[in-house]
Amino acid sequence: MRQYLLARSAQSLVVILLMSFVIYGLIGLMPGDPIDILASEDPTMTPEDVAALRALYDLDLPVYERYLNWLGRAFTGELGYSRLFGQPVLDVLGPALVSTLVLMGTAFIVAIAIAIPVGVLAASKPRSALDYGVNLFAFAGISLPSFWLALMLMTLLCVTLGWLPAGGTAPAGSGVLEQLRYMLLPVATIVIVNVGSYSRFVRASMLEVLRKDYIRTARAKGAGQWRVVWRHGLRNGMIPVVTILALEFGSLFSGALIVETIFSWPGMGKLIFDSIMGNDFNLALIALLLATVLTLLGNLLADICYAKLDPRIVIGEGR
Amino acid sequence: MRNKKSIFCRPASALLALLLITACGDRNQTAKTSVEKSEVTAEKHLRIGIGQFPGTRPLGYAGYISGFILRGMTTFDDKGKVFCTLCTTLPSFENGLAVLNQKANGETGISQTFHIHPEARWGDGSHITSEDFKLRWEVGRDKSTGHRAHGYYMHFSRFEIVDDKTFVLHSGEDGYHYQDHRPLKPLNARLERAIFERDPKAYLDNSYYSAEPANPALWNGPYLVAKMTLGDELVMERNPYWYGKRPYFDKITIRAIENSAALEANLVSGTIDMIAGGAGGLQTDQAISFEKRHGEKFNIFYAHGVLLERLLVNMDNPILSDKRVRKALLYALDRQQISEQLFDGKQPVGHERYIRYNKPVPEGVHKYDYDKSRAIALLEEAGWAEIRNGIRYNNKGEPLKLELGGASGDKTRDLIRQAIQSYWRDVGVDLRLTTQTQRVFFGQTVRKRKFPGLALGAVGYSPHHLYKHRYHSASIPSDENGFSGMNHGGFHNAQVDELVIAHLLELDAEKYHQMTRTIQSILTDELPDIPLFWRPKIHVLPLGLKGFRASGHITPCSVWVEDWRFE
Repeated sequence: MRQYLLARSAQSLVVILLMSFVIYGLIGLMPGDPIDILASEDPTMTPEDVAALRALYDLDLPVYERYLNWLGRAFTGELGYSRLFGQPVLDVLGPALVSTLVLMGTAFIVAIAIAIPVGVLAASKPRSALDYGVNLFAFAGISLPSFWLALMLMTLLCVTLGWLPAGGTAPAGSGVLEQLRYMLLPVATIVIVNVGSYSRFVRASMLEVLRKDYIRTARAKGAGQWRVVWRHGLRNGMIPVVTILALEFGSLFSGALIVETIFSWPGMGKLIFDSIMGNDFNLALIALLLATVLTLLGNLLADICYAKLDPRIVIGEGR
Repeated sequence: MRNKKSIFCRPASALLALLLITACGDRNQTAKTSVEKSEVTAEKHLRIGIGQFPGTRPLGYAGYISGFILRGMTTFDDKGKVFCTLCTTLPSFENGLAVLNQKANGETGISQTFHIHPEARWGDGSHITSEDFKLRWEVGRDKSTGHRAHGYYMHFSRFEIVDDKTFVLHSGEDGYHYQDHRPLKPLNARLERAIFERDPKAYLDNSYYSAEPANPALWNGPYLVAKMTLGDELVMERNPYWYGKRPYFDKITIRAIENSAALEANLVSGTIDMIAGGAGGLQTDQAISFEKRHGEKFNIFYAHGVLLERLLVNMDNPILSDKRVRKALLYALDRQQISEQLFDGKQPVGHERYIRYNKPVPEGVHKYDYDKSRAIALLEEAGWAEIRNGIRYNNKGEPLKLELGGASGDKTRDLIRQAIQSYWRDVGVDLRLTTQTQRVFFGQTVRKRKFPGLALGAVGYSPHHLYKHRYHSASIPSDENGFSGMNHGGFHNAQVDELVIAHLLELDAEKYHQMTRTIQSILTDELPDIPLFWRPKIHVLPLGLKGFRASGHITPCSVWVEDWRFE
């Protein structure tokens, strides 16, 4: 296991390094740079000024040289400053990351907490009224565009009924209930959109598992429906679901752009978008890399979960 | 079975209970929101929604936010006249604070003496001194800092400190706009000088404005930054050392809400009290629609006269390089009708290229009222006489086909472009619409003159507009000049080249205004761009807010925040 973890970590490191170059290169290919912006805003800037500034900020160097310089600085912990916010990149990322984790983490937990029992129930009674009902709601959730849902919820609960604040975060020092009020709408939007697909995954996976021989054997041995489904079926049924959830892990940290924008939630999604649109090279690069690292981490955790869920899977041993 | 039910029921009940508790909390909160709103008013807390979180560079917020917290030396009033915001008397030749002097190279320079207001202080109570202005001048001149408006600071060759509250700025040749010193904002030298001198290149990053924005010693406006959550909100509190009129509100919160529907919902639900005009705020059609639905609850303030929506013309395009075609295109557009239909007439038709404060269009400015037959005659005169399938062709068999580029995500401009397409189709012009993201369109396509025909955008005019940057042939962006000019259409006209330089250096008010009229006359005849509408800045205000003023030009309404009050 330890060997496996070490190998995977080394593999991940290579992927991160490659991704850092790819992201750096792609951002470098995007039109415009900070000096372009300065020049376009200041008509009195001379061509000599532009050239001097490019040289000063290494923007006259080829992308690979700039990348190597950046990498060298990154290894010493110098990740640079955000152009948009004028603060060290980590100082900008930290609060946004926490904010996103609170929002997305809560939504993720709630969505899973709803999707698993709903999916299992639907699978245990296929083609029943319950199954059709679950499918109906699942497809409705999947089909609803999140921006529309968000605006509808906002119109109903904030404008018409006036129950909830229309966006933002609770003022500093507010109680838990107050913070919950601010979170309720963005979390509900993400949950409604995600719970449909999650419950469909669980249902499909459980349907497959409940047809297996060992389930029939368990039933033949006299195990009740409850025990068959929840003890024998669910554990194996969760393996493909874990894969999906692992892929979702990265999004816990990269945020939900539309929901964050509509509800003015100061999270990573909006920050990444703003940094890319605002030509904030350092911020966009680190934020995207962070999302990559966390997705890789999520996959590693998923591998470990497989072994825990299914004793037949032994990780770290050659075949 | 009972167990199974209870296992399912418990979490469901818990969730339901949580929702109910929250909803009940919400009911209380509904009351609280309304109460809070009145309390907010009683506590004098104003919450403003804006469409974009303000960038914090360079050294202090630009535009709207800076009006609250960081005042510069001068600005324009709502009639376009320069006035002192930190000085006691505006330097002028009449009062002797501005004097002409002959320089060694034969140039006639200007020396302006500024007396800083004796009570002007930073938010920590310390006085604003000449040293603070000198530091800004030095930072602005230092190329390595990447400070904006570098050209402005370079224009002043010498900064002479007379005493703590008096300094003299020496410039080279200057013109009628010599009193415009908007970029000249003080930087607290006690805090900032050492950081700047240690590493000018890293100064913007290391400055207190980046590291400690809530430090009161950084700000000098009626308000100070109390708290800033990046990308989300900025909380400002009254500056106890503000020397001017005491502002009414104790606290002002600016909250960024980037989606206009969400911005409206926040306003109607009482989460914010008003929406600021400008970038990312409500567009004209949205404001009109909002006014129809909620007009009785809010005051919709249209500040006219700053942004001219216009079609930038690529003068290298062989079809568009013919002035007759450009004129025909303008005659073929019923701009008044478009304005009425799309904007209830709230985006007035633009003829001239400067702000005229609702005065009649001056003599010499060519107007192009809708005249389809004249448009057709001009096109035929220009050789586009043959019509096949509704499209005009010239004698070489080439179609009258043009491309109009625009940035994505702007619904209003999409509507305008579609209307233009329809009107031009009516006179036989095959107009193709292309769309790119804002960043690519304005950052690359327009700036590097890669648009093949026309581009829809806006140009902001200041009361002392410098035509040189937009219409002089030396300002055509090119690889050679690092794409630093703003004459994106590539317009070149020897008479205009000469005039705009003379205009830039003309000190005599009467001659200056005469030159402005001549330039206007030539530009409206030559049509280097096709003017469409004056786009207003739209502020949505609570009914009780009084004393609100908006210039409609580059001076933000926040410069008069001391006059705002709630009745």
